[in-house]
Amino acid sequence: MLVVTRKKDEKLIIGNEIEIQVLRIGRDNVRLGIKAPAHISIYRYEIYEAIKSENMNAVASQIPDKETLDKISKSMKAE
Amino acid sequence: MRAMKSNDQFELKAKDAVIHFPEGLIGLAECKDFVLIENPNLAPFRQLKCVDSPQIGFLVLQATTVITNFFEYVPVREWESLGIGPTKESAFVIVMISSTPETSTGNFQAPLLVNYEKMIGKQLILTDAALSRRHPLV
Repeated sequence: MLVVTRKKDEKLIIGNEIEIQVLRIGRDNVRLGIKAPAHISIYRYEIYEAIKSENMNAVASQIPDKETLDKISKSMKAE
Repeated sequence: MRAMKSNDQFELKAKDAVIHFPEGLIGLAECKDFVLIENPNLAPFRQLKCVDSPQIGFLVLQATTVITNFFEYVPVREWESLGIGPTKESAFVIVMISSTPETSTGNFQAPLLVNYEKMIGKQLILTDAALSRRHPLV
């Protein structure tokens, strides 16, 4: 891992398009500003991990039988 | 709940057009090409399967089937990043089917958007909307 020390207001650039700026340094947190092209997704790591694990669960789950799906389908339509 | 026989001999049919996900799905970056399979046995659900790794697949559902105005939860910039406007046919959620309707859920926090004209898609995370990744289907 690359480790860099930055002061308040200083920036990093990743590639040619992604800028990260230290906006504020608190007691136990830092506030960052990120400039990136629209197609780059930026998420807090924890939420990304949670979604990743949901995706993995979905991949691991088996395709249910028609009866189960029909039951759900009917309940959805009932609303 | 019985499981259907897994489809090991997965064959790509001509009608199953390939949707390209340039970034892959979250946690599945290596899977970039998917087919959206319609099957009367699965309706209204559809199966999204990775072309290169057919063991990777899951059931999806048009998001508006459950949350009628779902497309309004997706920021305009996300639609624009795919080159489309908000449309109900273009947003899907990955579902987790349980033995009862009441315990079956969909991941409404991380929907899939599809541009059918260009056949490209992406999975995004809605961080502002208070939508659950285990939102009940009924």
